[in-house]
Amino acid sequence: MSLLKKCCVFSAVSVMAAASVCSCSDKHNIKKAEKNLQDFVPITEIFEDSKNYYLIVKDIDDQYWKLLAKGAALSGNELEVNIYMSGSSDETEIDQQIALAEKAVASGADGIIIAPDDAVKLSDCVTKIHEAGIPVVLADTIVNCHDYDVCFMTDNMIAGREAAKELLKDMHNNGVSEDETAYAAIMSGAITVPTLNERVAGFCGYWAEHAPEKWKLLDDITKSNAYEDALSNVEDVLDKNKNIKGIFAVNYFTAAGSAAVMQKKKMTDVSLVCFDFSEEISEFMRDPDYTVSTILQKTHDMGYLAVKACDSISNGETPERKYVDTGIVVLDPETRNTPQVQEIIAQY
Amino acid sequence: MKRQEISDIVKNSEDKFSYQNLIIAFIVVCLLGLAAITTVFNNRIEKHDKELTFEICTLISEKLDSSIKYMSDSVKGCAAMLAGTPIKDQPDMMYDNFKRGSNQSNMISVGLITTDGVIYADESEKEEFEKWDLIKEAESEERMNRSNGVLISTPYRSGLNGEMVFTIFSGVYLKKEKVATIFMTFSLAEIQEMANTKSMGDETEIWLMNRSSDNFIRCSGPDSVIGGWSNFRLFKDGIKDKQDYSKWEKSLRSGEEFAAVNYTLDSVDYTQVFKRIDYMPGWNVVVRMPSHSLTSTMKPILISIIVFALVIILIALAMIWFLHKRESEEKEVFERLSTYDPLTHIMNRRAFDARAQKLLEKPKQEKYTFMFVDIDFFKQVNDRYGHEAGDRLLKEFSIALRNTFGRCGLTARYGGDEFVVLIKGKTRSEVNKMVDELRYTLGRIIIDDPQSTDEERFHVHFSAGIAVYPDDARSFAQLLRCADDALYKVKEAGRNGYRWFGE
Repeated sequence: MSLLKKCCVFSAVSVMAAASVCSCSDKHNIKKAEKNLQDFVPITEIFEDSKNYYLIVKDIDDQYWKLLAKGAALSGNELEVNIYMSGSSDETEIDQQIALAEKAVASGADGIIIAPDDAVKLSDCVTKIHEAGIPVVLADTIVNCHDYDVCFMTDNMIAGREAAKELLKDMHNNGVSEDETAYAAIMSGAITVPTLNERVAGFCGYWAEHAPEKWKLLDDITKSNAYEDALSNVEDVLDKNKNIKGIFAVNYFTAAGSAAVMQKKKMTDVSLVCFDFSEEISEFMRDPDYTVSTILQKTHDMGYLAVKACDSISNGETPERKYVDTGIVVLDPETRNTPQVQEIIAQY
Repeated sequence: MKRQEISDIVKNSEDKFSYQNLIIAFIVVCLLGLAAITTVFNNRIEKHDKELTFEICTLISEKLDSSIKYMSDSVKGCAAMLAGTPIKDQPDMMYDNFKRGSNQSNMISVGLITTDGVIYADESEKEEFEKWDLIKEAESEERMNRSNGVLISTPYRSGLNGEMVFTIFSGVYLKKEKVATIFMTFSLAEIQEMANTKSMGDETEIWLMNRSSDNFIRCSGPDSVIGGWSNFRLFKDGIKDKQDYSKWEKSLRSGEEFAAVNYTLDSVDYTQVFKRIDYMPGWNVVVRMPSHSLTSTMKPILISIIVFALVIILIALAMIWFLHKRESEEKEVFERLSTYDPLTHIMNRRAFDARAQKLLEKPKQEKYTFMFVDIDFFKQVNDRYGHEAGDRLLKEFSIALRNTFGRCGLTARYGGDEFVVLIKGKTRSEVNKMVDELRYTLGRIIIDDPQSTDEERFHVHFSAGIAVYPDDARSFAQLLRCADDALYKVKEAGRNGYRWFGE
């Protein structure tokens, strides 16, 4: 064989090998993810000859997702259908969710309720389930496609606006004058999480429309994805900017971090508005010296309504709406004892 | 190894060395040239990229602005049409007419709001309006007049289809009196499709950006939630050229029509352009493109050029190698022909003279013994045994000469039966011993003639004259003369012997 021929054959073989590796890489990742999968476990009573729905959450050990599962289980028991639950080990394990969805389809699911880890990367997976004729109900996060039946989630844009409204109210109540220059800092999480970005956008939108002229937002927004990062970021921001009178903590880490720093520095003149309910925030709110509010999502309702919708779609009904905002409730000293807030707190 | 061979190898290696240098220089020049071409190409492309990205961004933003204008004009057209209907006191009929008359294929829903605030629309739409406080927005006549007779809502997620939508409101006027407000809700995807540029689709990000809050909604872009809200403050801390960006931001906030900026965010160079949307007060369309998007398009071309240049270089190298090989072979043949005697394969006179002269001219004077050697009565060999026998004798004589003196000197055929030897650094007795050895060796050579008796056979003898440099002569020519003089004396004395000059 001539040298030229050898070169041509070698190049062709290399190109084919590279192409086959590329096409297999996704499958390889999913196979790898399968190894660490947590099996689906029933969260309802087992009902013989009933429909089987699969619930896939983002972070199986997280309190938030346990609450959603609680709502789903309640609904499942009411409807006498079986709900099997699993989820990724954390919100970055997208391949685990894809593997779980494939497993649910293979198990003959009558419907799948999924809280997608990633709105873009899970789109194809959701489309495949939908194309297979299995009802797909989204919970908490929407995907970047139309191939789902209904989505139950918090409209984070509105929730962000409510947070801004609450912070403005708290700052007023905390004695910040509209004539004095005051700043509010936003502490967010990873910019790759659309729900957090929407909360920030809602907050900034409301602030731009309603905040007194002299009350400004800090130009840069710090991002923390762990408690330790949040602690140092909050401390850093508070040290560098002396006129901070308000903090909007967008996720759990920044909420807990802000509470800890404020307590450490005894910053009673700073108001904190955060998201969701946790031990740390509950503890912090009990201290009357601090002005703290939190935005509670109706996580339990998301799970509850998602199962109801999944069952009705499975029975041939078409949902009236494709997108349902499950709404939020503001928890602050004024609303703490209202039945609405008490009901949500009791669900935790 | 013989001295001549050693010197030949040295010469060859010198040639090879210069050849290698030439090849290295060629490769270096080629690679430097290639690097220079690549750099110039990249610089040109980068510059071109920035200019072209700017043009594309401008084009997309204008396209988007026009599409919003087109939608707004449709709503205004419907409002004008409804104003001409004789049913202004029957809003439900007006709503039905509007619903039937409007082409709903490219919109989510339509509706009507009376001056009393009654909304004629789908129930879900009414809920959205309440949630987003849209009615209050629509009622602002002053704002509507400011924005060419229409009001465009902030995009929101529709409960009906889960998509991001926006609603355009326009007043229905009868003789300058407002009788109702109509609205049409469009999917944001409509704008996305109009703005999409297929060739750059993967790289171009298009946002609708609010001037006062930095909020933006994605209309298209890679790996992002289309229709998702975000805020540019979230990205600002990663921007390197903050000064330029702040200027751009200032232009945006002050309501300028158009501005562009280049900045680096997370090691990616971006070109970002905003254009004010006149129909959507407070909003701008922002188009962002990584500057490398065009470079990436051009990269395959650059790679092709580099591969082509490398192939050309390889071909050129192969040709140089081939030509060099052929030239060296030819050179070797010519050198051999010009240096060596073709019959005896020892040096010829010209090569010997040159080499000997070079050795004697060395600054550090060394002792050399020069010897002129003549085969006695060689002519008789040719006459009696023929030229073939004569040639054979010359060959064997050369071999004997080389075997004896080759290790310590140069040997050459100087003329027909004349040979010369230049010996380095040997004493007179050592040379005498070597000459005796030669005589002994030559004594064993027999020019074979089967018919002749032993007495008649030709016995090979030689006569030699020897001179020493620098003892006897100070130059090569003088040395030759001295040795020749000694040889002459040997011949006069009856040949078959040797004599040192001055003896």
